[in-house]
Amino acid sequence: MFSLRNQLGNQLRALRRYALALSRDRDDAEDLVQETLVRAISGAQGFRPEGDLRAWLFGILHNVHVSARRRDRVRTDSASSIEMLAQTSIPATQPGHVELRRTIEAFATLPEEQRQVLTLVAVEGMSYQEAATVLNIPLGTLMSRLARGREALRAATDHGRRGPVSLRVVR
Amino acid sequence: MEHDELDADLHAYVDGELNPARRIEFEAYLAANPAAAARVHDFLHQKEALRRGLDLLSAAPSAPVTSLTDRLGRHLGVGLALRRLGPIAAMLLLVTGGWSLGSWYHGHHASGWAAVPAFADEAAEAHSATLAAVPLPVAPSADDLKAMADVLAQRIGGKAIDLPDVDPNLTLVRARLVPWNEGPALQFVYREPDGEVLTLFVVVGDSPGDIGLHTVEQDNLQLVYWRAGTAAYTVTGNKADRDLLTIARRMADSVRRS
Repeated sequence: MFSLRNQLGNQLRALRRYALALSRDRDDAEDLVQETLVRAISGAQGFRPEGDLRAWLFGILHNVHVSARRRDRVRTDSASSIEMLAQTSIPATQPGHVELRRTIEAFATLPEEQRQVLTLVAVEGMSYQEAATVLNIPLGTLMSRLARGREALRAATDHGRRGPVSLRVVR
Repeated sequence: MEHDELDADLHAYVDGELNPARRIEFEAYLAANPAAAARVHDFLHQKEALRRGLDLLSAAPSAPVTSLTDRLGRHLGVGLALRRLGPIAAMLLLVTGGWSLGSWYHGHHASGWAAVPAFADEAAEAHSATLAAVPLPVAPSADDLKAMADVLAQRIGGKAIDLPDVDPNLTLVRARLVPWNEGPALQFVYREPDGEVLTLFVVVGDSPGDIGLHTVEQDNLQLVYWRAGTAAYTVTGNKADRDLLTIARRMADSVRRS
């Protein structure tokens, strides 16, 4: 049976992953999701039953993020930044966590446009067309960003055989 | 084949974007090219690591995000339900009230959503919204009641809805058509002789489930719910209302006999 609540629950988890990938800061990500939900509530009457809930919500989040960027919000280094979180939330003592941490730390250093497509396609499983629509970019642009992002991440992590990645703060 | 084309296909393969014929071709290419196969393996591994990592870092949603998600669900549910109503029913809904669109859903529902079926959860929400409405609207006429019942009947192919027999000591204060996640629902508001208010919430179209009588306490409310075929019923009242279970049991028995 169609369950709006189950759908929303799944989309909330996905939105929070994407917000974190975009903002690289847990507090900023939570603010971004909150603002997205507020706008979605105000526009809920316009959502069509046959519409794609995921595309609609991700589109709103993307627009909110772009608006915030236009306001020149400067990211500050904080305890909730993704680099700090990776060190505290992914303890290196557990098997596989060293590599996991390295992947997230390297991911945080990628340009935003690459983080966007990697999250939408590789993490959230969107089709190329769906992700291109959310980001409002041509299909070819999406594919080239995806390829560049993947290769950069692969080079930075090198399958766990290298030492810790050297982080650079991308603002 | 051109290198760029192969590269694009490699990513498309990883992302499940190749059609079946091209996928088979590409798998043959991978079998003969260990370096390309290693890249595919790495990219698939990368996908999993990113998802797991971002999940670990996301932690639990904050209370405001949880509340807002609840509100969004409510608003979307109302919108979808309104579109499923016919013009007469939609007009009735507007006349008789419907949801308070600005209402907040109180309390964290990490367990609540899973603890009771959606129709009973909606009944509790409608009950709270009703009590918050001051003054209570005038009960609709007999014609309005018939039109409301017809709306529900249409949802199950014109079959009549079995409404429970009501204790003669209860006074009908209000009846209205309200939207819920799966379409229209009927809500009856009764006042008991001691002044307590209880509501009966009737939906159709829910998946047939067990026919037992269930009681649950949620947000200082007492809910008693049961199913009969594709219809589902919920009686909601104050947690301290000692008569509620007896009243609900009589209603359930009358539906089962009908």
